[in-house]
Parts: sequence; structure tokens; C-alpha cells
Amino acid sequence: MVINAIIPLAAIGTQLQIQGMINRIYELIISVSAIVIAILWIPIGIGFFSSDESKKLEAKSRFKNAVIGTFIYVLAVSGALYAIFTFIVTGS
Amino acid sequence: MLSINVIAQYLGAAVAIVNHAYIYIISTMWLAIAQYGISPSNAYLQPELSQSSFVSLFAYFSGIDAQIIALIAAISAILFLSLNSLYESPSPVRYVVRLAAGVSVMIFSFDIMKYLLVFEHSLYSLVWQSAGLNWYSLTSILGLNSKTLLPTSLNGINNELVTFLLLTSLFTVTGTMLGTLMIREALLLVLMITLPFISALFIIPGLDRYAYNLWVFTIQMTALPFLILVPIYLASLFSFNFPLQLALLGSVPIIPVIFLRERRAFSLGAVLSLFDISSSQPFSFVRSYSKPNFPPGFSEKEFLQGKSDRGVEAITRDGRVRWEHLESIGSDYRRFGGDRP
Repeated sequence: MVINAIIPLAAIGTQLQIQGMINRIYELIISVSAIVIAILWIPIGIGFFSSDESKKLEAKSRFKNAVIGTFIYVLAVSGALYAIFTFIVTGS
Repeated sequence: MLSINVIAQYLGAAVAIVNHAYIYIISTMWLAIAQYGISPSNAYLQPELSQSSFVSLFAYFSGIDAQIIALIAAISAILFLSLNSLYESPSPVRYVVRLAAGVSVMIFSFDIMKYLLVFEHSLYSLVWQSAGLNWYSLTSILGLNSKTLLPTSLNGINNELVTFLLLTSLFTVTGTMLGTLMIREALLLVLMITLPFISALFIIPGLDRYAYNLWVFTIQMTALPFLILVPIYLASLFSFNFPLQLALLGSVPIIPVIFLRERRAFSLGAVLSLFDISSSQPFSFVRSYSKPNFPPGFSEKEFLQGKSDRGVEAITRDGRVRWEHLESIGSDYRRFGGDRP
């Protein structure tokens, strides 16, 4: 079979392979999303150092939300989020 | 040449053979209904839940689960951050509550299902025993003649064609019952495996209703046997009215249809409307992170600029005219609305 030669279908069956695939997607998304998050911080920084008072005030509340969002992102990516929720309910 | 009488005799004999086959098929089908469909242990999937290969299949998925949870939480965090930086600042409390609910339901959906089934199983066994019926015997439930499977009031009738018609209706009713009950069990098993992944939608605003609807559907499916026992028990009371007994048994497959009409698990129209650019608020599921839930047609900016006296009218599906407007009260705002005749 041609398809079997290109994609070794029989080899994809194991859990290890699927885990490997997901790990790869995981790495890719982390590397792309880190850049995206860095870009998303730029408008907040611009607002923070703006001479307009209202923009400055707005940037302060946005700054707080951005810290929360980034913190949750770090928790999710490091696997701590899953560990925390598992610990809360199962205790292990 | 065969006379009409001889043909009638042959046909009668053929129908009689079919009738005899029917009697065995219907009895067997009822045994299957009682054993695999409505008996407490099988209705609540006790043999399946204790089977090691099914449990290990779930363990196989839950290994991947941790990474999928991490991915979805990361994507939702990026969504939250982009709304915060590019649109308007969303409420972090709502976001964190959503995330916590979604992640905990994802992690514990298998346990939730397991304990739900165990709890309902114990309750159901109580109902099953206290009804005091011999559920395994169709003839004792419906008060039928055990040899012909016909109502005892029709004992005098010896017409094979009438027997054939009555047995056919009984066959149809028991067949659809068996199908409904078996599909219910199959759906529950499929849902147990897929619910952890579908529960991830709880985290994404606007898509959470699909996860919610599916959970409601699952709980309804687990409660179904309680409702199925009612028409069967009622049928046992009215042994003098065979058509009514048939109708009561025939109502069993209709019960889940009523449930499905109540709250559809999937609706293609709702999914497509998410991506409807022509609507006034395209991608509204993304924006629903935003802090106060302003009615359609309002934005926070408009309200702050004092344009809040503008009302919004919408025609609902049943033809009523619904209107809403905002009024500022001190530093807060209040939403007024109602039906316009």
C-alpha cells in the first residue's frame, strides 16, 4: 500500500506515539503563543507611559488583568493547573 | 384445480407457523428487555463499569487529558489577554470561575458519571423490587395466555389472522422498546468516554452551552429507566384492555423523544450562527468575556458617553416585541426592559 509507505498507519496506534504527537503540538503552540503574549503586552505598555491621564488609568486595570491572564497561562503550560485541580479534589 | 377452501387452509397453516415463530420471538425479546434493558444492574451499566478493559480504556484517555487541559487553558488565557489588550478589559473573576468549572468537570467527569450511575442504581433497585412484579415474564405482566400470547379475554377466538395482527403489534412494540433501551446504554457508554473532552467547551464562552446541553442530556438518559417502569407497571394493572396495554408499552420509545425535543443536544443552526459575519455581533461568543453584559446594540463606551437613553427593540420568535434600555443610577447602571404589547 502506498499510504502505508508514506504514513506508517500501524505505528500510530500506540499510546506512546499519540503522546509524542500531542507533545509536539504542545511545543509548537507554546513557542508561538509566547510570542503572541509578548506582542499583546505592548499596547498596555504604550498606554502606561502615555501622557493622556484617562489612558493611563485604563492601562492600570488592563495591567492587572494581563498579569492574571499571563499567570494562568504559565500555570497551564507548566502543568501546574492540572496538578492543583487534581490535588484539590483527590488529595494526591 | 384448488378450491378456495383448500387455499384458505394452506394460507391459514402458513400464518399459524408465523404465529408460532412470533410467540417465541416476542418472549425472547421480552426476556432481553428485562435482562439487558431494565434490570437494575444492566440498566445502570454495572457489568460494563466493572470490566477492566473499559476502565483501562478510560485510563488511556486520561493520560492525554492532562495535556489537552493544559492546551485549552493556555488558548483561553491567550483569548483573555487579547481581549484585554485589543478590545475592552474583561472581568477576570468570570474568566477564572469559568476556567475552574471547566477544568474540574473535565478531570472528574468519569467519576461524576460513575457515582451518578451507582447512586441511581441503588435507588432504581429499590423501585424495581418494591413494585412486586415478575418483570421477566411478559405473560404475567400483561395477563396474557402463556401459550398464545393473547389476552385471556380472547381465548375463544381461534382465527389465525386476528392472532397474527395482534402478535404483530406486540412484536413492533417490544422491538422498539428493546432498541430504545439498548441505544440508551450504548449512548451512555460513548458519552462516558467523550464527555471529558466535550467538557472543555465550558471554558470557552458562548460554546459552553453545548457542553451544558450534553451534560443535561446525559443525566436525562441515566434517569430514563425510572420513567420506563411507569408505563410497564400501568400496563400490568389494565389486563382487561389489551389495546391500552399495547399503547402503554408503545409509549416507552416516545419518552426519550420528548426529552430530546425539550433541549436539543446539538443544533447546527446555533453552531453556524457563531460564524455569521452578517449579524450585528459577529463572533459574539468571544466578546461575551466583556465585563457588563450590555444588551445588543449597546457598548460600554456609548453608555459612558451618555447615550444610554436609546432603547433597543427586538422581535422574539413568538412574535412579541422585546425592548431594553439602560439608565444610569449614581455610578451604576440598571437595565430596564419588558414586553411591548
